[in-house]
Amino acid sequence: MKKVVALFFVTFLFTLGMYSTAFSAPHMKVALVIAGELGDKSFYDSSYQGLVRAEKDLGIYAKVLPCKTDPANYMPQMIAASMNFNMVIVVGYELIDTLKQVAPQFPKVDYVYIDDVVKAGQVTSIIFKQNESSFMAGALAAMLTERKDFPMVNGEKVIGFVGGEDYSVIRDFLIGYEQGAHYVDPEVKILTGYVGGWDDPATAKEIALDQFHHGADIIFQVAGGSGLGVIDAAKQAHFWAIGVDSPQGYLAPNNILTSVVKNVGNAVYDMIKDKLNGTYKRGTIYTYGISNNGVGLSYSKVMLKNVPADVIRKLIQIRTDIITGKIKVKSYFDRK
Amino acid sequence: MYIYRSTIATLTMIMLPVLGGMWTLQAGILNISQEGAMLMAAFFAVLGSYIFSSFWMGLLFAILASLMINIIYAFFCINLRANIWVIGMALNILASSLTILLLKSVFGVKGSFTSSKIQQIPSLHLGNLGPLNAFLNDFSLVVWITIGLVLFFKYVDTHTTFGLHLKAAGKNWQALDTAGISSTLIRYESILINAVLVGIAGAYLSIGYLKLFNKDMSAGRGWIAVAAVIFGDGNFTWTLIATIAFGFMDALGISLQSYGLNSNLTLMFPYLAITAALIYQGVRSYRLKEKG
Repeated sequence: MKKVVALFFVTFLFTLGMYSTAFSAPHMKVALVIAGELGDKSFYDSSYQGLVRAEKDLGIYAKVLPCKTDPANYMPQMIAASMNFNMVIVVGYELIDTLKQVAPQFPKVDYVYIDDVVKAGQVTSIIFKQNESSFMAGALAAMLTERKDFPMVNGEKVIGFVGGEDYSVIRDFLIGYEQGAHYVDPEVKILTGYVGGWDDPATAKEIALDQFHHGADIIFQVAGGSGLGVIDAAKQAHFWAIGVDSPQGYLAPNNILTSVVKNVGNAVYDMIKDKLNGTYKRGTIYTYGISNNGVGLSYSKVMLKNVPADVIRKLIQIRTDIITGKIKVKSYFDRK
Repeated sequence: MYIYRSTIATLTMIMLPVLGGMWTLQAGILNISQEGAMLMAAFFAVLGSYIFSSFWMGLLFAILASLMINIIYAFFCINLRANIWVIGMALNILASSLTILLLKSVFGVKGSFTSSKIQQIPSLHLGNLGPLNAFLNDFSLVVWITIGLVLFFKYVDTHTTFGLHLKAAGKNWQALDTAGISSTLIRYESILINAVLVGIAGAYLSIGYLKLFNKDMSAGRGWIAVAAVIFGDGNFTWTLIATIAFGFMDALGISLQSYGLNSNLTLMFPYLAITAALIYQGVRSYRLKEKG
């Protein structure tokens, strides 16, 4: 008897649960699955801001499912998101394999992968043209390194680049940076160094100081937490640094020229909006470049203070040339 | 020329834990909690320096944090005879997570923290020394402390009874105990000295060389120190040679990147040096065993 009652009760609860989800259906439900945790002041946070904005403006139901960089969480979080949400936005290259496995099992769910191309069924990919924004950073660095009256630059035509690890996206940054510098002056020499990790500011600082002693007076860092070591070196040895991902000018207002930013949040917001408007395309690749403000330089107060007005005007001209196709920016991914 | 300064900076970060670790090894304990202790020290150095705007307080906090890790390690290894790898790894993982937790709960940030309120350990400017400027001037106070400590350790190692007690505690502790000297006490002393040195090293990393804390910023330096200690096997000269070689290879790897060498290759340098050194040492001790 007890068993029958229990069984009945469970069935009742289950049906009730089914109905309650059915009744709350008018809201589109969006999950943001991230490989790490919020609070990185960069990629994850930016995508989260886009999600929050969509929740406010578009009246969707949104939830973040962090995996805390623990591979044991990847599969459960991805399945949980797929079972309970209409749209699943995935951030973090660690999750690519899991996404490829899970997506075909849930054909009704829309998947968006950010910052790389994932070819798996209905997954839509968003890529950023960091090469275009880096091109502008390179042009900026080249213009200033040979400027006579500009503070903290030496006579040598040398600029630097410090990457976290040597892999495709970072190479894409570098290729744009080099091309941008050579667009201004083919004689500019670019020193490159890689830290070999995203959490080693001490090594990054040594690399930056080494480049500085080889004549580099403007150094672009794409190195996450390690990059703070480059900014620290810039403050100590008096040279210029270029920040990355989010506006980093506040870290060293007197030593940072600008930051090369990726507006991940805009992309997240646009995808949700497209889905609501019915213009969302499954299984395609959306490209966010300079033209649709997916990437760019941070025209922050720090930049306007440190960079002379005529240089900024030239940069805006370069931006227009990239958008109109007058300048063709090379990409590391072209070689694939 | 810059490679010289770069080597000194890299070297200081690993020399201190090497000196401390060498003594604990002589006393019979391989200390593998160096990485964790260094990371904790780095965090607390920032905390102390931030709260009091004084690098002395930063150093003090760092040494206390390092003491905490080392005393736990000593208690488990000496009194409870626990497996050093189990407790060492536990402490290293604990330090990595605890610093992230504290970063969030104390400073309300994740990943990294920096502030203008942090006072850095000063560099010493010795005045104009002419051609010696590049060699001696503007090194951090910790660099000079380290050089002094190396000389001091060399003296104690060869000229004092304490040096002999350390070796006795490692090689034949029964004999030491029979002679009326507690080997447990000697081991604790070596661990406490190690804690102070690793504390200074951690502080140098976060408020000496840099002025910030980043999660996991010790980035394997504690492990390189452990490798140097294992290679030296308690012998002062060999330990010193190994440390200088590792420090130099690290700086060389960085320097060669500026000349356009592939980073995947250059970043291997210190680890290649360690692997080569440990293989050499393995072969040497195997031959000694065969002979004996």
